[in-house]
Amino acid sequence: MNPDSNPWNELDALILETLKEKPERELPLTFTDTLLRKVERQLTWRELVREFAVKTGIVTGTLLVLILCLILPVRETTNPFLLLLADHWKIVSGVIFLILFTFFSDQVLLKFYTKQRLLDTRS
Amino acid sequence: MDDATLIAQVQAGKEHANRYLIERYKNLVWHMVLRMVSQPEDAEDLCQEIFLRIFRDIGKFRGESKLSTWIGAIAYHMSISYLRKKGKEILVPVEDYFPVAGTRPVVESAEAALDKSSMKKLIHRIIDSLPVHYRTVITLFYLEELSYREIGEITGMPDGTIKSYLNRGRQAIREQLVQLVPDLLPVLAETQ
Repeated sequence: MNPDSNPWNELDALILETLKEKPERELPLTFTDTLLRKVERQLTWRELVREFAVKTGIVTGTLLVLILCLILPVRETTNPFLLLLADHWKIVSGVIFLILFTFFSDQVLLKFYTKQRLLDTRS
Repeated sequence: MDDATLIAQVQAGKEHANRYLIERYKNLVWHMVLRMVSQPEDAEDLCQEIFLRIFRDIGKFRGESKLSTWIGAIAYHMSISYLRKKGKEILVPVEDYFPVAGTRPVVESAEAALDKSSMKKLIHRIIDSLPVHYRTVITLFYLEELSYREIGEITGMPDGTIKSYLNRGRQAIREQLVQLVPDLLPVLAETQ
């Protein structure tokens, strides 16, 4: 036994060596590919929703300005078209909702799933 | 590729840049998360969530720190949130920490444990039983070789606390090792 040696030093050296070791378990080899597909999916979705929001915003904004221009000058309107819309506002709202939903399905959902199918075929 | 170029290319949606970012930092994230969360399956899912958050928020990176510490901070905070959701205790000073029966590693004899690889496995199990902040700081300092400043930027801990956790963590590992293998030191002394 070496009288100058200290078992604590050897223990500390082993602990230090162990602390610097990489773990046995590693990420799977497919981790990056799987993750990239998810990232692509999220980015595509976000981009499509953003485009849809912009287009809807432009159309809705334009319509609102038009309606305000028609209504504001003549508070008590006699325009038969506007009166019809005002009387059947529930039907009008339903139709607008349907149009928006169709627009959303076409501009966002359909494009999203088409892009995803293309990506899946490629990979 | 420097951080600014990488970020610009990731924001431009270049797939090779996304891939490069993941390959460059996946080990840092994995080592941290695995050490903090301990369950490999959960750690893998959490790593994916962390990277998705990184890609979502990359536009918010202002370059005030290194990209690696920004990513490390996201990994750290998401891991802590995960542990809180699972009801795991976070803030336990090491001197108050006592391993719960059933979680403490079991060793049969000093001779069996003295095989180097067995000793290392035992040390890893002891590290896994330490409180989470100790495990995190130990991993970042020894395995990832980060400086105190970088560890501070990731965890929000001051330098003094980091040094304290490192010292106390190592002390706790030594003490637990000697407790688990009572004949260890005499056997180590005899073999020298």
